[in-house]
Amino acid sequence: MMPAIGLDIGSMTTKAVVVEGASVRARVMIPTGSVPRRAAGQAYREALRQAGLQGEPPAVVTGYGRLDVPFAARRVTEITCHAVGARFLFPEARTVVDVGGQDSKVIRLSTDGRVLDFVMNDRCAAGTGRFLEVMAAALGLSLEELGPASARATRELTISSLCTVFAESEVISNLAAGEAREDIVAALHRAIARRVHGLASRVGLEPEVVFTGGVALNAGVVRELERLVGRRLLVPAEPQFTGALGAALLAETGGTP
Amino acid sequence: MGRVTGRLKVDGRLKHLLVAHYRDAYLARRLRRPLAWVSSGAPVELLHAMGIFPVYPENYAAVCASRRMAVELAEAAEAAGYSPDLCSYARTSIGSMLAQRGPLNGLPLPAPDLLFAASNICGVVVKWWEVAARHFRVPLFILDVPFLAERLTPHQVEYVRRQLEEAVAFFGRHAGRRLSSRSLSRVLRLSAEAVRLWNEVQLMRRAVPSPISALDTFTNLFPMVTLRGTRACVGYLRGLHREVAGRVARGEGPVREERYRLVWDNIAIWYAFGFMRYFTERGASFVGETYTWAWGEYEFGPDDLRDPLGSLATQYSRVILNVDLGQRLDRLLRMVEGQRADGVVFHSCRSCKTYSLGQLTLAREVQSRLGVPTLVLEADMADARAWAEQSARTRVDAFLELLEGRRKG
Ligand SMILES: Nc1ncnc2c1ncn2[C@@H]1O[C@H](COP(=O)(O)OP(=O)(O)OP(=O)(O)O)[C@@H](O)[C@H]1O
Ligand code: SF4
Ligand SMILES: [Mg+2]
Repeated sequence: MMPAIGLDIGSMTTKAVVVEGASVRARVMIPTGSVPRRAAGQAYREALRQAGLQGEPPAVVTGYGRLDVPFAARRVTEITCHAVGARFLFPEARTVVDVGGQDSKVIRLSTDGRVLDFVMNDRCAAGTGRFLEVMAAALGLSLEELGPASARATRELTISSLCTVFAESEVISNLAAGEAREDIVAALHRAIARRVHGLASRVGLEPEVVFTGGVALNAGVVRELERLVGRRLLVPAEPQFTGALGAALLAETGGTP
Repeated sequence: MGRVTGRLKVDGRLKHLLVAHYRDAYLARRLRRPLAWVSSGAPVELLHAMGIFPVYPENYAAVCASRRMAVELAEAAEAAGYSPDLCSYARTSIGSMLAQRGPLNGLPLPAPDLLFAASNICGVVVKWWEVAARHFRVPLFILDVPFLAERLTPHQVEYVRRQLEEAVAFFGRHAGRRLSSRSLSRVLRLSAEAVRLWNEVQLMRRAVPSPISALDTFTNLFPMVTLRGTRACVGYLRGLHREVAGRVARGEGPVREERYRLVWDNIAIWYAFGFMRYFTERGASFVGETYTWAWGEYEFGPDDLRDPLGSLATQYSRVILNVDLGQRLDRLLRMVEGQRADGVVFHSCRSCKTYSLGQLTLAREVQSRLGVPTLVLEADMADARAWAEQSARTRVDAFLELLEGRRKG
């Protein structure tokens, strides 16, 4: 089989994956920045370079920036791409939860991997990755520190608002009241998990549940979501690449979902 | 593969009808014709039969929305203290009342001589009409229609029928008009004829390809809503019927290659017709809408003419927003199957709680009983501030990919 390339132009990060047969030959991730098509071009070239490929193989492009990529051979939504990617990694997947920078979505799959139903969060970024970035900054923590910090929580606090603006002020007043950062972080994770779980309940949560997107790197959110779902979630080793992987697989087969 | 056609030719007459209707409304006072504001679920036949000119604030609000004026009017109402959570039709109408502005030559809806609303669509409309009654200091008649859970009881019919008698007396008192049974029969016959034609047009969409899509019916709904019971309405629908039948015979439709057949639930998004065209461009036709279908539910048979008020009471109790979810589900399932649809799009309308509540249950039932996929889109029929077109398009793209996967699978 010829190598094939998929691009996922997310609201925060742009990902490129090159696949050949059943194996990944290269993957690249860069910030999307303000000009999605520039990030797309850069990730495309870099991925081809890493894979040592000549020429310009046709790319399947997904993500919110997909319409802004002039060289896209095909544009496919994230719903389809995440479904294909997750299913490739975990053939037993029946539900896919993707929480990225600005979107969260839940996809229900049939036993043969077709998309049966999906939901996406509405319009605002409340309770997505961007929300966590703002909160991490307010707490003086890096993104990587959030998960480990919440594991050390000892007290159950509640953050009631998922609006980024209100939640930030709740965080600050909690800090001012002398609450421990660890407890606040855990409360934020719980708030996000509750929201995602609510979304997921709309399409029904069939096991196995795969968790993808950058927020799946946050062990704190994973833990809280597992608690609500009542079972272990399957998290890919590199959850952020799931959509680009799906796009690359679609490019390889030339097929529809 | 069907031939593609653009807008319906009768659409040209539609604009004419709309202009004439509102012109007559503005002239009513000068012609000494009493003018009533009437809610969409009120038995308008009574007014026609009594020579009272009806206008629909809801339709007017929809016109405001399609001319992109609803938001500023809603803002005027909000500035006066009305909650943004209130139905956007109500906000638009109240805003237009307060600001004395509107999209038709800059004019608001002409002031009413009396007000007539029925509670069979929602509770908002009752309060909205009360606001108008205080504003214009004109008499108001509220028809209380009990919610129809499972079955319509004789007692319920009687309760509504008696109120209709009161309404007739009320209109007589305040508008100085009387009801003759002859003119009521005439109006009911015209209404029945319009309904019959409308329903036939709807059923013609069973054809593959569907001869028309949602954009056509949402536009062509106007005479059914505002002119039902008049000759003009019947005349228009005959033309529509002829044209649609011609399209079916020639295998024409609005979509180049009909790949997906969809059903729409809830009110149109009046300011986003470009978005509806997006479906057509992607090969998706709407073969039915619960909303446009609702105006085909007023079926008066010859028997009904014997007890016209009783029959009005029955018909107007059964409107889609006045029945329980089970009955709504039945109607929806029948439409999906009958029209050979392969997907249902639910517009979850922020304003209209009566219509939108329960949609998730309907969606789940459609999926599990018919195996037909569903999509929920969040929007509002008039308030464009609740609308994010790009993300809606992404959802549509994903939904069509899903349907495409089923075609292949
Ligand atoms: N190392 C990390 N630890 C914890 N969280 C992380 C880490 N790296 C990224 N994230 C989270 O992932 C988010 C970005 O996820 P992702 O790259 O999947 O988004 P995206 O695809 O660009 O966005 P979208 O799909 O919403 O358009 C960040 O906002 C952040 O919250
Ligand atoms: S709430 Fe719904 S039924 Fe009531 S007036 Fe508004 S749109 Fe019409
Ligand atoms: Mg993403």
